[in-house]
Amino acid sequence: MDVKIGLEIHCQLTNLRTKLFCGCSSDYRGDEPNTHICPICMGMPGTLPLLNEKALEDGVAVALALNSEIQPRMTFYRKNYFYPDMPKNFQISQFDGGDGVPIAKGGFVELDVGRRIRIRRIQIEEDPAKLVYFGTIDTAEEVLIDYNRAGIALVEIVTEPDIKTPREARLFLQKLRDILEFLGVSDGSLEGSMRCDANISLGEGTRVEIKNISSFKEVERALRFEITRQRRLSAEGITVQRETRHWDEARRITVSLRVKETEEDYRYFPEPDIMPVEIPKHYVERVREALPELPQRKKDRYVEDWNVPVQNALILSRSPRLSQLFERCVGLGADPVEASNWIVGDLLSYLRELKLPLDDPKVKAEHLVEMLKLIEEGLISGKIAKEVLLESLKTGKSPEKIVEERGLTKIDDEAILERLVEEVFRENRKAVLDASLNDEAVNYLIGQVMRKTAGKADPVLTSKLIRVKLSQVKVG
Amino acid sequence: MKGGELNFMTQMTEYGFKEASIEEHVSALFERISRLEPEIHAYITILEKEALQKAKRLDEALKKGLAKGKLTGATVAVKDNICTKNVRTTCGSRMLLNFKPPYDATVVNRLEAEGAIIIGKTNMDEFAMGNSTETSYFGPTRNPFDLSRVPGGSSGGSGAALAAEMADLALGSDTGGSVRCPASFCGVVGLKPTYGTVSRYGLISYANSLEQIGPMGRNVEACKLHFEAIAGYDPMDGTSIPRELRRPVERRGEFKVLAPTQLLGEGTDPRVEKTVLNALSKMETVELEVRSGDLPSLSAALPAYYVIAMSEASSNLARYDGVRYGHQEPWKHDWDETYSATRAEGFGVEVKRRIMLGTYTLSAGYYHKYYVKAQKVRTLLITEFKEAFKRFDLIAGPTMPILPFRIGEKVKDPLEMYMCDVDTVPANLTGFPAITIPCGFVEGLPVGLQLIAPPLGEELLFQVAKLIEDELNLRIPRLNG
Amino acid sequence: MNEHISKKEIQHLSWLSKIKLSENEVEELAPQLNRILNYFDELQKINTENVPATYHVMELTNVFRKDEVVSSSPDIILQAPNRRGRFIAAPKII
Repeated sequence: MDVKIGLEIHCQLTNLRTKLFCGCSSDYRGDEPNTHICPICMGMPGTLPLLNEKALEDGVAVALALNSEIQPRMTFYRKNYFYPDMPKNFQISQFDGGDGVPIAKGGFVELDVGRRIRIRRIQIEEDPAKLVYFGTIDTAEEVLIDYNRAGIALVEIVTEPDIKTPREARLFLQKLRDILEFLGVSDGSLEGSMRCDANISLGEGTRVEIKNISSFKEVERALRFEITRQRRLSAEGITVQRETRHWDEARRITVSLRVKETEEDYRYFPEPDIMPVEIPKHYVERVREALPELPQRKKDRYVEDWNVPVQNALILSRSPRLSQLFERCVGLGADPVEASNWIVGDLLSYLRELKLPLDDPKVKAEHLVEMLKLIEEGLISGKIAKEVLLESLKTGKSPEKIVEERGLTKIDDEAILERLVEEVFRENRKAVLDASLNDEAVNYLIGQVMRKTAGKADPVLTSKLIRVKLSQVKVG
Repeated sequence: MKGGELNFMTQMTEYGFKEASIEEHVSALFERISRLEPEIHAYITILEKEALQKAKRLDEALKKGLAKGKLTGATVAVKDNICTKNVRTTCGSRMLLNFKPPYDATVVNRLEAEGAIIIGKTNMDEFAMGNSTETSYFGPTRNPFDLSRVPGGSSGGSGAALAAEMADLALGSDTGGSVRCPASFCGVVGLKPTYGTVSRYGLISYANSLEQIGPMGRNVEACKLHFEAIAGYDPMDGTSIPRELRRPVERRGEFKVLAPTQLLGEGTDPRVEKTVLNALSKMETVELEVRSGDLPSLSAALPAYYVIAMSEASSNLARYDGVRYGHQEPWKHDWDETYSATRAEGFGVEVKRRIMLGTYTLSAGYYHKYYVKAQKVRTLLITEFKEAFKRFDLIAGPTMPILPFRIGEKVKDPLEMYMCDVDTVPANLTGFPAITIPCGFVEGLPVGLQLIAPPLGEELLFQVAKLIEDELNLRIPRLNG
Repeated sequence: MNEHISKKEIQHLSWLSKIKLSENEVEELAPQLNRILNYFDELQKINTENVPATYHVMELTNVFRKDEVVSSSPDIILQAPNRRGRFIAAPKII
């Protein structure tokens, strides 16, 4: 039975300085509860919403990046329902249907695996408040409300049910997060900035909605569980109910929410306090021109223009900081392929080891380029370069300085190396005998020379000298 | 009167300020209030101490030549759905019984900037839902012309305070006639401005696509000064008109006035109709050319109004759940039950009725039949009015189809009460400005004449209203005991 | 007169709008609401084919506020009847 998954993602526009309808600072994380509030976002009587002009700009940017069709005139609608996280007991949102027009319709996202996931619509709306419990939602006697988040600008992205597997869902979300990060409109690493609900159906079966999914990994888990659950029901001849289920992260199951006898009715109608917004073509073009290059294009450019291996290109293009670092290196003259290898390989693993973030000041494109130059000029070996890179990340010193201070310059003076090779031959007679029969023992001898030179011996030259000497031994 | 600069008190010769200072004026006012209030009950909150303090300060400023406000010394009664900072603002409801807004409405700021003195908050129908001030949690206000009758509503307290000279000016709000109805019933002047000309920031919403705060005064000049002080763009109100586009009056010779048949005839008290038509015919000899005509869409205006108003109200009043402010019932089993109990206890029966109906007219399956349909009728009305205004300067008729009725007479039948709004709702639906001025009396009860102008036509309204006021020269008894 | 709304529907409206109604109140409301809804049917007599709805009377568009921080008012929570520290408390969610 084929699986159809659709996602509904809410992303905070974290780069806006203020909330969607009031001038409260949007930078609330880490602050005391209810300190980023005002009469407007608290829904006090007599207050009126005032639309943030930059939210429109960000919305248009998102729509462009998702290849979505921006509507020439959009309106805001009220979604009416009561809940403790709602300051007005209605949410100012958008509606697609009747006289309602969201900011954009249609669109798609290309996954790296080559699949295209279609977007149904994009809309702008306000975030509700945050609910906190002492204990768990089941045991707490009351709910505590923090309105800092109430009124934060959200962009809601709804996909068509094109996603076929839980893994694809995760890939889609990662791709979306990367795109939003590249646009600079939403920082997916901020807690709670991206939330997702999923819809899933199997074959001709009905759609089940899954809410309360806290991370991308959980999305995959929740969907996997749900597929299993629905398959089992089908196998037993039981019809899957159309319902909303809640993902219980601790128990790793979806749970049916209490079946209400009464069904919610949102009674959408146009928001009287917000005037319609016309989005002229020239405005859209202005936003388009200011858009940064997006991951897809970057990856293609790296591969096509610079011959960067695809795997490297994928990793580099996904991260704004990595791609920035990489492009800067190339801009400073580094060979793109070499640079990509070193960044994706050693640099990233050293950063993990040292627990350094990518934007740490010690991570410098100039240093990387310098190091690559030293290798190219034959002054240090690749092995030494790894050490130099590590130290540069630890201390922030430039590679040249480190090489100088520690005297790490590659030894490629033939005379010196000759003498060292002779020394090694003298001290390792058995290995020499083995080496004349077995090629692998040659590496052992090379290794010994490296040891004596603390890795500084030019490996190619050393290898040549050893083989020459071996051939002389054979003869002699 | 010392001080030099032209101010409200020196301009208002009709008001005949006898007092030598603002402080004396305000004191005299509070003396009248103490005598008349027990019977009229126009006020919910009286700010005597604050007002006297401000009066003293203004007198000082006047002496130094520093009081330049156009309303210096004017005492203003503010309807209790307009927010006054740290002063109880109840909307005539138990739900907001002790609510003190942490901010002033923009209109309040502007009045105070012009030297006006806020002397109290006036009684009103609960959440502005009504036209008799009988649904107030605080009990009804009585009409100064006949204490057994209603003063109109929902800004009944404002109308009565003015009529009894318990304030120089009054602010009301007009969603379906709530400024004009009490103005008509209380023999004073009231304006519903063009939608978007007076800021709604600080006006506690009942139906936000229909309502405006409206200035009231005992004569046209006072109302005009009042309007000019409060009107104008406000960045805190997203529906506020950004440009000062006050339309200069284009004289076409005489002012051409349309008196639509739909606003007369069946449903209108013949005595009211006679009084209004008499006034208009008197004007025919002077400046107005009055013609009869048809505006067919007017017949659907009232149901359209109520559908839209109730729908919006059901949403605007959803915020009252007791969690962040206002009345809250002791906690029940869960949030749903607590909200439901709070709202059951906090709201009166008319408010509940309108919320239920508004919830119905917005709900799935009925939305298109009611809400969208009403908004389409609205379009028809606007189109018809615009057409009419190509040939006419003004539309005229009675403000109210009936005389002020007795307290308790209509409360049993909501629909009968709603019918009284038939002449006033068209101006709210279209957003066009409308003014009411006293035009005569029937058995000692005031009758109001309403004029409607095209958008931003307030100048025209004031000009023609003044002409009529001068011509009719009514002697309106002021009931200051 | 058509019956527009049954007592059951009134109960549903009561749930949707979070206003608890007693049996008596529902009894009283039913005929009143029906009468008013019956009156609203007057609207159906008007031909509105091809007539667009007017949701905003003044033809204003694109009213914006600049993305600039305005100071907040944390003291607003003092208006709330139930607080725990800086949180506002509400009855539990089942």
